[in-house]
Amino acid sequence: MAKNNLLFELGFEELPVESNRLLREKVLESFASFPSRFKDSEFTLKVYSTPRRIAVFMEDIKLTSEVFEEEVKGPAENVIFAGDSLTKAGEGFLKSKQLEKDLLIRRDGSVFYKKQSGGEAVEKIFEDVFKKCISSISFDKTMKWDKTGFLFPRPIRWAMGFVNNNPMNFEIAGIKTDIYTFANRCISSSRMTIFNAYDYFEKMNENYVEIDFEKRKKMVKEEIYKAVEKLSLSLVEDEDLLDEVTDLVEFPVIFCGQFEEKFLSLPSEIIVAALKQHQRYFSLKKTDSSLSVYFVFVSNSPYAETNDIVKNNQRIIASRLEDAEFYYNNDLSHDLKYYEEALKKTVFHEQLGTFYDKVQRNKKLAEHILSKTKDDIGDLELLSVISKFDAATEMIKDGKEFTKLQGVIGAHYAEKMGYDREKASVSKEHYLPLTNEGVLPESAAGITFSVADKVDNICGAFVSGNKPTGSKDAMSVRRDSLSLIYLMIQKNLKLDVFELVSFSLGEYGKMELKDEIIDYLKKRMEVLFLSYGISYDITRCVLNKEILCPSDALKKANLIKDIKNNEDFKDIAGGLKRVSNILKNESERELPLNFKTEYEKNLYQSGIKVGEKNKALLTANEYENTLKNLLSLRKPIDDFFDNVMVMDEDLKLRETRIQLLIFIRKIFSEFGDFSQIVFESDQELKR
Amino acid sequence: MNFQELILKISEYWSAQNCVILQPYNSEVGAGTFNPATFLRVLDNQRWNAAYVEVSKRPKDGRYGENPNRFQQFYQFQVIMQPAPQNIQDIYIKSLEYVGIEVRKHDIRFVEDDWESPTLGAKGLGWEVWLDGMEITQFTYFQQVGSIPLSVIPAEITYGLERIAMFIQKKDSVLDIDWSNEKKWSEVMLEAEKEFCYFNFKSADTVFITSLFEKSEQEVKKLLEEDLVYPAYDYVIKCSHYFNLLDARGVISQKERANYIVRIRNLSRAVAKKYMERKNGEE
Repeated sequence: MAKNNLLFELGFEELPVESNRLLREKVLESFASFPSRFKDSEFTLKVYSTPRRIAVFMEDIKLTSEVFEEEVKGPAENVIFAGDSLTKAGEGFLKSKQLEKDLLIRRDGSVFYKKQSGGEAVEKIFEDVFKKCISSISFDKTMKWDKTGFLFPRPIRWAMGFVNNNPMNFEIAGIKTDIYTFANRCISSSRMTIFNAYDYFEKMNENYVEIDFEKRKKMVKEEIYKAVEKLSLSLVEDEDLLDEVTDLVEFPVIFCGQFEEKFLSLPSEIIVAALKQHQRYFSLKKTDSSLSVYFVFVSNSPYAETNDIVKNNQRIIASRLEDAEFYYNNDLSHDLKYYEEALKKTVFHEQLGTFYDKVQRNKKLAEHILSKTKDDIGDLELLSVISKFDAATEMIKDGKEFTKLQGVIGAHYAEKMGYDREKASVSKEHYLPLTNEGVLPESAAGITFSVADKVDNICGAFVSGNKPTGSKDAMSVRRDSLSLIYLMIQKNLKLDVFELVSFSLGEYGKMELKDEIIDYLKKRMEVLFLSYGISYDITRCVLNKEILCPSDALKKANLIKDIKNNEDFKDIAGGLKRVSNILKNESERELPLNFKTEYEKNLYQSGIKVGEKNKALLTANEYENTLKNLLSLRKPIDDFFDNVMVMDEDLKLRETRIQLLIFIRKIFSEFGDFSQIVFESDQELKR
Repeated sequence: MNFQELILKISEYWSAQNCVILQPYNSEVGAGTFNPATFLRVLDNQRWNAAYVEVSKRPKDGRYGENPNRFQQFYQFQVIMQPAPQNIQDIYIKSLEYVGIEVRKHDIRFVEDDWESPTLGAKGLGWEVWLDGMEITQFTYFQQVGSIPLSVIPAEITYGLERIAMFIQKKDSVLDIDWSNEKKWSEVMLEAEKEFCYFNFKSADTVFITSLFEKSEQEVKKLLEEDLVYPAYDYVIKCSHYFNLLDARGVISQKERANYIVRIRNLSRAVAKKYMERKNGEE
């Protein structure tokens, strides 16, 4: 017997790439958990998508779910029955459930009855799942297009579905499902009648629609490589662009074009950006990895006349590069002094002043950072201007297509202006790393200005009322925070983030925001550390301090992670938790040295010893030995708890013991807050 | 097909789609959207189909006629269809075929581009339409106009006429477009183009224009008090043009720029509101 199948296609006007990606993911997610009662042994699910359609195909399904009988509990027996006869409520109950009296089962003080379940049609369940999926996706932007007021990123225009050969029948976004679809726009604009899923696949194929995203992407890739090979060049790889163009066409056809040799005098980044941002072209490079005049592009048109289409595209890119050249020559006709003045008129942020103000803030922070790191990076004034002057150039300002090249442009221009490469590169380097995995700045100047820029960005966002929330992060604070921490770890910077934040807030005159920002940064560190395999509790343990040097925190966290399951450590952490509970309402006073037992005396002396040793070790960042010393306190602590009663009735003894514990806790807290550590057994208890 | 034939042909096509064919507006506008036939009429939330050539003036875009693609003035063909027909994309594509473009031999693409006019408080979702990689049309489903959300959604189609002419005539420069059988675009427009560039960038009297802006702004408020919506809107258009001139002259700092935009948006919103009130009163 042939397998049952279901096919559904929703058609729309060209969806934006991002929306389409999201739609594809969410539909796949929704149907991955399609109820198993509709699945037969070889059930398969496929989700297809192009810019104009999304399709779901399920094979080897059950048309209706199995019917089964289940016993359902009804109201209490004495509500339904008075003796053997029905109460008024009982009669009403039978009527509402359409039951007969002798179908009721009386048991354990309640009535029960049998109910038939299942038998739902797969079509109905499909409809529910699909509609629920579509309406629950939070697209970036949606629109209305007709009187139904349905919201979607672009107008929905048709719906088509079959269960085997039978058309599906429901309504979505005011559109009734029907039995037609459309071909690739470049082939025809007429309706195309479909009979069933297999007919659909065949007709899509004949009409130049590759419905499978992955197959389409593979086609794009293979065709591009073929073209590139013919030219004996290599591709400037760009996975994002590849994904994007795959979602811009229903059937990829690759063409090659070229631009005039003279444009190669522009920086290659500008050319690559112009080709990509404007036209979604792929750049090609020669064997010496310099840029070639050739490019490849992906069209949607199988019948295109090659000559025309290439010529037309070449004409467009020529005028784009012409524009870039115009900006470029114009920009280089000015010197740095000119741009320093121009920065005064270029708004950085409405509430945070001009780029010139930003440069001044970064410079002060850089100066402050250098006072800690003792690095000498040369002329701060000059470097701070070099880092940002490109914001006032034609190429970058007004949010044009080359904005993403901010920094790269600055570095290039500064070198052209005659500054040496190392100084010039601060413009590019101080934006790095772009993410918490990105390329790092290498020069001391680059690192210093990167830290300064990010700290000021983070504080500035909070100062201007743009603190990030779960759904909104207009000033990319999240990215800056993660990049900052990542940079400080990778470059092993001995800087206290909290102190840098304080300094920056001091400059803004907004010290009151300190706690909020520090909390935010701690949360980001928890997330980042988790990606390094360090659980939240350990991160909290090492963060719970007045100062925060991310690279030190990570070293400590890794040490704890390694010994977390060590018996000594478990025991000590457990003991410290106990201490923490006992000391909940206690505060530090002078420690009276009138110990009554040797256990107290012993604990005190061991504490003194470890405390002194660790002081030296901590200054030298010898965390492993510090931790070892702390673990050596296990025995004195255990002995103390085994033999000494803290809450003694004698208040004097009690005070001594409490202050002794406070003293011991302090020795530990020089490393971290161990009471934060959570063991699996704790979690089980909580459950 | 020369430039003027293109205009005639495309007008003929949209006339057959039951559009009211209008002529360009009599005041300087940056785009066909500014024409009251779009800005005010779509606020009716009624059936309204119109099409017209618009002379689009963008002082900042001038290059003294030296760049083959950039001019401070060009021609748009504007179509507004409210409510947007279900097959509006096809109707549009057929219009290209009507003016002689064999669409299936070329690469036509609808590339995401959400249009917005901050001064008009207008925005919508749509695309720029690419023909062999060249943007030839802006296609927008308006969601909001005059800062007022629309309940009947129109489609706005704005063709760049020079670009389409370049495509059809296979020309590399706007200057070389055949306007008529005898005259080229440059012969008809270039002299004025150059002079306006000098005017826009160098000689426009900024004190005078600033005062015109301020007086026009006052005029809008006064006229609205007198319930004269159309005349009031004319002065909003003027404000917008004066702002564009000042911007081209480079006398507006970024901060002031944002401020000017808000001022004009407030005016356009006030006009839209008054217009709506009156329409609602009539019902």
